[in-house]
Amino acid sequence: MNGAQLLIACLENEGVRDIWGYPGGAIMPVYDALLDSNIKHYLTRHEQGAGFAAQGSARSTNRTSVCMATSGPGATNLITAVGDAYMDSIPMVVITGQVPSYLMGTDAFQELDVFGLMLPITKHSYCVKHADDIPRIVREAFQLAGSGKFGPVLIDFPKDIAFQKTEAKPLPATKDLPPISHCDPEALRIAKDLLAKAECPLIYAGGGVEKGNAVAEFRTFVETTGIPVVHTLHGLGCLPGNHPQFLGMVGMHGSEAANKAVQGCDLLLAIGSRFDDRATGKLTEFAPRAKAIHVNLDPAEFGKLRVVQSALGGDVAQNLVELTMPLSIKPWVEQTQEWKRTYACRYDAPFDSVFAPRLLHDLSQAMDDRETFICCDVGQHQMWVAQHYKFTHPKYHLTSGGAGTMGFGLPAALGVQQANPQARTIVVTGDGSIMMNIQELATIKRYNIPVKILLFDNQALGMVRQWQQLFFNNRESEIDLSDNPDFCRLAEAFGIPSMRVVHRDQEADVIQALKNTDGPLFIHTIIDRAANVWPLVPPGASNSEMLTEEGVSVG
Amino acid sequence: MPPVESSQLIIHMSRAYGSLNRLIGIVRQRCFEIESMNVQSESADHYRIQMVVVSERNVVHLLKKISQMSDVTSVSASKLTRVLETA
Repeated sequence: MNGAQLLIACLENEGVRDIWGYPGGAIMPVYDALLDSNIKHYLTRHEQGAGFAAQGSARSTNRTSVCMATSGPGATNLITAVGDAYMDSIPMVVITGQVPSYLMGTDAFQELDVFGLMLPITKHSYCVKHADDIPRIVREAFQLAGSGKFGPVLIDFPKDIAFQKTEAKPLPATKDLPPISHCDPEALRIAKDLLAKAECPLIYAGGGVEKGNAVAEFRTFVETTGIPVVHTLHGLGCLPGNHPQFLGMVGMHGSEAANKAVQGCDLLLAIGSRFDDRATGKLTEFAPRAKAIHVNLDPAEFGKLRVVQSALGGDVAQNLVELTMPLSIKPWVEQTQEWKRTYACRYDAPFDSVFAPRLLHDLSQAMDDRETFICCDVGQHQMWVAQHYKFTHPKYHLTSGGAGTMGFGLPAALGVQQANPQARTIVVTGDGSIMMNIQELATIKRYNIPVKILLFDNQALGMVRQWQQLFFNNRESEIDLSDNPDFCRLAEAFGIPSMRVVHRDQEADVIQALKNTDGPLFIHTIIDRAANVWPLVPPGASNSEMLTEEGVSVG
Repeated sequence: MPPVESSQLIIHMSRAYGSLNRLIGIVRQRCFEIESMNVQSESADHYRIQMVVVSERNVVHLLKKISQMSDVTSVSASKLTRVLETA
């Protein structure tokens, strides 16, 4: 057996069923070994597409996924997807070919220091020095990626090691992952005391709830205590979007009710969230009169941005079970419900064109019991999805939150659909984002992946235009996309059926098409170029300084 | 601005390929400057590293991140004298 064959055997041994990748010179021995394997390889049309497709698989299943590329430019094309996975804590093993080890450091053809390039955006990086090390490295890579705070791990694989003969074998049984630490009794005691004394408590929950496999315990905690809930972008769905205690997303594009509740609470329970600047606005004015309890798997988050009175590390679910108790907070709950009614979203836009918020709201209301994943790109449409689509579980919402990578949605959806073949997968994208990885339409066609694409086209980089309008005296700089291609003809050229939508009367047809079309579908939806995302907290401002469509602060 | 403080870290860590680079990367990424660094091979597999870092940031957070590295066996920190204080 050579090193490449051993690598594939070790991947099989870890339960890998799919690899997303793109071949090239230095990784060719591995692709040769793949021919004799049961692992299914999906060829994307760009390495970044492979990285995001692997992310889609991992995000929708919480299982470690694998992507692969060759050395040099193949590896650098993966970097954006790896950095994105690092920011959002996605478990992924990244395999890159490398020039033969005796050529490393000589500026050889397609040689780059991928190990060095990936260092700050991976949990750990390996460069394989001997084929005998492969079983240990692969085992460690999967354990590191999928334990603790998840993240990507690099295996850089020189070509001569791939050809090296070895007697090594894949390691036998999977070793148990390191145990998650137990709750801290003293911190728990303080937290319970704070909860019992609070008059206006508020839950601010993020993606760590789902990653900690704690959604059920979270819902029990919420309903038993009766505490109102706001979510971060990645927390959406921890509490269903139509749940009465859910006040909306918090932060820059959060709901007015959610942001008012944060500013008014006297106890903030940060659960699986990390005080990200998009959620907090001006940090010193975030929940300014509140004491805080922080529940997080990662102890490095404690005290990073906010000093809290009780820091509960370890298992999120176990901590929530320990904290669950009924509370008497009726006046506060009634106040938050009043805000929720007063500042409810309106969908009665008067114009004839499609109103994206209404379409997304109606789409989520029209969904049946079939699992439906929404893969967003980045921009205005991403925020409209977060504000108006009612998620029933956080795993159904895939979005590039930390890195905010345009071009994420389409390739991520490929990975989602292949990992969840019975589910419905919808990409919600914009005319800027879709062009970043448009080549993956060819991957849809090649594997007949039944992904639906809902493109909102405002012929501009809408979010940048909105900021230029609001914060740069309406001076539009390099945001015009009025020379976009004919997207329907483009989709048809890739062999994907398409439909064009220009009038609000067609919104119902869009929903039916997204629900009922069996194969892939590309829906090109024209929206108003001037449409903005409201409300908005100006960058660096307090969440109490929200701007609404009328341009007034609601603080 | 918060005061700039210096701390001494004692780190026992694996000599695995790239471990020093990973350590330096984490220190730099968390906005700490390395004032001095003394690396000793205490065995065939392990380094003992004495490092003085300087930052306005709280060293406790850096300590937690370093302790999470799979290369690291143990890490401890002690505050040194305050080297600079701005108004």
